[in-house]
Amino acid sequence: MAILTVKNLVTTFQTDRGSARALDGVNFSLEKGQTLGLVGESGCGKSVTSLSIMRLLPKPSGDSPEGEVIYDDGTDRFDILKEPAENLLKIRGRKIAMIFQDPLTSLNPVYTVGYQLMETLQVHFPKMSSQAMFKRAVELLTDVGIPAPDQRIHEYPHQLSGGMRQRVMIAIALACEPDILIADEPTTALDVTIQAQILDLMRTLQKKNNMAILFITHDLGVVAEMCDDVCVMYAGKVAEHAPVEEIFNDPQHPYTQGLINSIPKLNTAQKSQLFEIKGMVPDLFSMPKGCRFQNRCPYVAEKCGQPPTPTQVRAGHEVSCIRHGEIDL
Amino acid sequence: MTNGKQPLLSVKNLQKYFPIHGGVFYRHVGDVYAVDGISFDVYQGETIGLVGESGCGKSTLGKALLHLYPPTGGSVEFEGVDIDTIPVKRLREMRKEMQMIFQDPMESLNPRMSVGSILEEPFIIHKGEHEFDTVEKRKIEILRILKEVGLPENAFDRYPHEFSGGQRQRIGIARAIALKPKLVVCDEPVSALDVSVQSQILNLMVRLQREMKLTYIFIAHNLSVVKYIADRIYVMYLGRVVEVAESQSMYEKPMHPYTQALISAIPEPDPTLKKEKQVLEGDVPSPINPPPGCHFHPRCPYAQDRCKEDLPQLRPVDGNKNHQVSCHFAEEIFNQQPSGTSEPAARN
Repeated sequence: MAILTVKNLVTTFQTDRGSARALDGVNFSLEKGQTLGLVGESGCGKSVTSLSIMRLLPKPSGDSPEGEVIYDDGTDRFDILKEPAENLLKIRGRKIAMIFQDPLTSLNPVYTVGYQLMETLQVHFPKMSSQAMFKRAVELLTDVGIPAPDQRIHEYPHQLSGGMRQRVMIAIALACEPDILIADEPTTALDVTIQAQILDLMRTLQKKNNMAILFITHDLGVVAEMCDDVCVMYAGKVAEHAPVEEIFNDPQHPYTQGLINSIPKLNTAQKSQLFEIKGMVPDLFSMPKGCRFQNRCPYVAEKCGQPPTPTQVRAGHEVSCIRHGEIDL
Repeated sequence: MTNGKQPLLSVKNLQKYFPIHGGVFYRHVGDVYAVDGISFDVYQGETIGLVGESGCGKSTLGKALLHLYPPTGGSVEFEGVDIDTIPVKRLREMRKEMQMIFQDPMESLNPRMSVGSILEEPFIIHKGEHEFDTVEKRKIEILRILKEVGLPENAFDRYPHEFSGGQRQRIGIARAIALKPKLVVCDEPVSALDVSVQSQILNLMVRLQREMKLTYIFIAHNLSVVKYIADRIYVMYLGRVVEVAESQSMYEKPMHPYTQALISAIPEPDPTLKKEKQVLEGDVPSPINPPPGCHFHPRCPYAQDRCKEDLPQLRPVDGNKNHQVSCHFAEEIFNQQPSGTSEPAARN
């Protein structure tokens, strides 16, 4: 069952240079207990998607995304985009929680780790006693694998290492046992050995809490390891949506294919010519009409000037390429 | 490698400590052991990869090689000349031969200078050491370099902020190769770039190396990228080299437990490989008070009593003098668990 369904999400930013459509009709759904990866390069709209879902975009320039974001956990069903602002406080943190790339900028430097953990509990469970909250906070720190949690709870973010800070962020996010965790590049700032620890932890906690994860990343290696389904985004649109094995073994969009081919893998021959996607992502103000990838696509044809519609390759695998079926990738 | 040639760069027991001052009288209370006794030789046309996690001293080493940090101990010889003892004027002349590419091109390019003047600056600084002695000649040369690195001619009059990340890195590369150096130290040159741009820049660097016979010291934390570009890899941990090998041999037979864990932690872009991970416990300890004995022993799954006291030195293993490792028990560990270590080879 889909716990979160995003339908035709459009986010526009009003800027001095005019309006920029950062998201142009994004569709996907997140299943309960599953991990969906949002992949793409910088500026493709991955983070804007997550902020639109959480309604955290700056006002007034990016407020009021259009479309629908349906949350449905079986008992509750509502469209987040239509909820009044006061209800959002009950959704954020309780139903949908979020962790960010850089834990040092998202933790408050002047409060202890414990204070920040208990703050979340206090907002969502105002009747909880302070002893119970403290106990729960220590328990959460234990869950995320922080050694000596009863001492660490009194420390400030700067006293912790990068990996430990990210663990604290995860503990805060999981404080109210949300159904959905949005992880926006959670391991990008970490070293590989620490990244392996955090990914391990996220998998364990996901199993334990039966939580759905929307995993935003640009690292295809992490996607292969973490995700069940993958949405490849390009310039504010979903290029391809498929189960993770199909994305890597049978990519149907020229962009997905280019992305996979351009990473040097451990078995890539030394100093051999790497695959290049020519050029760069077009500016949001001068997007080509029709397919947004056409100026970089090796298979471009005249009809790419028309906007592509998502085509079903097989169940669960959709691709937005008008030349799908004609080209042999 | 030891074919009787003189090395381009020869590093002997290089040390760089950063002093820590504290207390009321701002006394010297300790040191950060950023680079602690590293030796290696680099030959013309080679690419050396320096890999390690943040804080292992790889960037400090890169800068110390170019004498951007004066070393605390040891020596760096460039073409047989010890760059620590020569006069500053002479060092400045030698800088023409050794250049650097930085991670973040936005921070290493002056935002108030046009690309043309950024690229002209090296020619002005090294006046009299090249044939481009007039503005016109320099402009022709700069346009040629721009073309070489894949930038349009009109970039000459534009400013760094007008370019995308990948193009800015091309400007950084253009500046580094302008005077046709012999050695280029590349400090995480592709870490800030998107994958599709990363492959463009890597292709460019490989082509330039071939055409100009450049020697690269390539510093990165991404092991797949280092394996792709480097001939020889040095794995660093807390200021020391824990393993050296030719890149193929490093990935097929990692002998040090840290290298093994590092390779096993790389997320491979292939979902069918749900590999058994060797997840290391804990964090990298602080380089201010590195653990005694083998620096890696608090995180090492195979640590024994000897590792806590006796600092291992690099020694050849596997009957291969090009493959060196600093671990007392490398052979035992390697033979103990053939499944864990032969795994990267099995993936090829």
